[in-house]
Amino acid sequence: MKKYKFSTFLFILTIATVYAACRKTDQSADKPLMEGIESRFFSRHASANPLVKAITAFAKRENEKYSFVERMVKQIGYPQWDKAIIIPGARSDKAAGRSAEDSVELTYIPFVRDSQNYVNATLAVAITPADTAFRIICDWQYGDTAATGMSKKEFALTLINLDNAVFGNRMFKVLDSAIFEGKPQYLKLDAASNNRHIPLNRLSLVSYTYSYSICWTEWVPLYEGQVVGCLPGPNCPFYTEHEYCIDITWTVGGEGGSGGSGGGGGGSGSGGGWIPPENPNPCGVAARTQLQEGCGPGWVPGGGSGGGSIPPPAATIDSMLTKYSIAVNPKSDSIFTLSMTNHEEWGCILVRNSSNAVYAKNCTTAHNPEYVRQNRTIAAGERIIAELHTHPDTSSNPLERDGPSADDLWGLRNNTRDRYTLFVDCGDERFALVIENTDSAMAFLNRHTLTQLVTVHYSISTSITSPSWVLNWRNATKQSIIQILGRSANSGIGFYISSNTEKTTYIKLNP
Amino acid sequence: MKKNILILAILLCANQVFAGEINPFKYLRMRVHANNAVPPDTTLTYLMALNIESYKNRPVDSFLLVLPANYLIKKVYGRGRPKYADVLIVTYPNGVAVHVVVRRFTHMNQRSNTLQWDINLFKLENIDHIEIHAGPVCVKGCF
Repeated sequence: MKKYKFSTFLFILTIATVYAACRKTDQSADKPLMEGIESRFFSRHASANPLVKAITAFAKRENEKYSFVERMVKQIGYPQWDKAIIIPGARSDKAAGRSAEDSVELTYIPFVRDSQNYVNATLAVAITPADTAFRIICDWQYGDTAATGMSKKEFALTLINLDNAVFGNRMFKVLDSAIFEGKPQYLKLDAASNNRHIPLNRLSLVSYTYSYSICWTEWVPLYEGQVVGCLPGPNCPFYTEHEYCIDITWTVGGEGGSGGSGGGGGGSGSGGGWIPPENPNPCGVAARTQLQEGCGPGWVPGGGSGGGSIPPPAATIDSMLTKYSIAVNPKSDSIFTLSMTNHEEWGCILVRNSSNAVYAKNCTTAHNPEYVRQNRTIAAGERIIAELHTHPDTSSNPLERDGPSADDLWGLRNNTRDRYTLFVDCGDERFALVIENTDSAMAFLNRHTLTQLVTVHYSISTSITSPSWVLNWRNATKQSIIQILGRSANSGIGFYISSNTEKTTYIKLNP
Repeated sequence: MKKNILILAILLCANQVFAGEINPFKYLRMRVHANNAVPPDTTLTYLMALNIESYKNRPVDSFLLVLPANYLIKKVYGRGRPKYADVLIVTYPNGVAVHVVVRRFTHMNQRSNTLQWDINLFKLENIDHIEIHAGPVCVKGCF
């Protein structure tokens, strides 16, 4: 019995010793680890901006109360304080009869996981004189407008903007094309117009309004519903390009509802509102290569950070010209008949609307045989992508009709946008001048004066002898334009001709 | 070795000479480049001071009277369509040019198969508008 009691005592002592030792070991290992995580959380990528510094200090104080850092890091990674985007806002208090507005700011802190190279979440903090409100929003929540306080598109653009701030990414592959207007496969942020502050009309009662605008370019696969397996660029031209801008606006408080507010002093629930929401349908890193509804974001960085225009090769321009021609044909036939009857130039513009439809409109004439001023009035959502004008002649011989003129080339100066097209319709033939490289085209047009273009076009046209310019004037003007433009790789302008009845088949004339 | 280098250099030079594209702007481009280095042009200053709007709907001749005499070329061209006269271009040194544009013709036939027009008849037509160009930029009168 004595022996039993002693062995029991020894057993308990051993267990207690092991437990104490283990407990001590755990404590000594955890503390530096946590200190390391917290130190990194608050110190690495620290910002010099006083507002962001204040937010960091606020988060630090909150962490002392709620100890959220470890869990936050596990879920959404570390904050990039120095890459915060600050959006100026304004307070208005009409109820109190105040006209003066206090300066307030909404700050977005991007979060990046160690294993990833994209922003997966943001801490949105609104600091007002009376309150500090915050909210943590993850990329997979883009479809939850109640959680984000924004539309899908606005939230996507906000995170994309943060991604751009941290990693410099401007090009993104769009996994959920329904987020954006044109259902694009790719989009690129416009570097020049990000984060501009736009003053807004004030709201009633006490409210805070924040806004900024983002411009971006969307690349939509040429044939609807198709997915193109390569990035838009010289070797993969199967996209159409559209530019968009949006003003993103939030209102916090007042009668305008609220967005971006996590509640005064730090939200509610465990963790003081600092615990990021759990993804109910996680799909992991690998799944970012494809869209799984509700599990990941609707976009991923892709295509590098390079800017500039993406010159399309001739093959794509051929199909574009075909599409444009089909769109303009119903108008061009009738205006050419009018041109020949009345001996006057007619012109129309081609527009693309927000539904991606292409059509001709605003056909007009100046009742003049050599000149028409295009009516460029467009409706909201429309964009001028091309123009057409006629070159009739009093002679019944179609070879007497001019090809493009010096004025036509000069007019492209005002439209050196990628793939902008100027059609010249001679009835039996249609010419097209296409901006294939905006930089080169601008440089070419800036190298030459209008006087040069006029005199050189005259000199070359009247020097063509095979066949003689007297017998085939149209060919003479065509040859002249080919020589003036030279290689499209140098001039940035492609010169095309279509001779079939429907004007749907184009041949490139300059090398 | 020296001989080989010499032959290579000759071949390279020959290649440059014979492979070059026809450049119709070669001469004119040199002039435009030279413009960049010139001090403020007195002709341009004078032209910029003219009230070109006041000559609208008045005969071309009335405007030609006030133009500086140091012009290089004064010639009628078809700018919008080469066979249809619409502009009298008066060029000056340093890439400065005045374009006197006419849209309605009552004294001369606008269309010419030979691209030759009588400047004296053009002078009788009324001015639609006047443009002043300096190098590749239209500095006054364009829309």
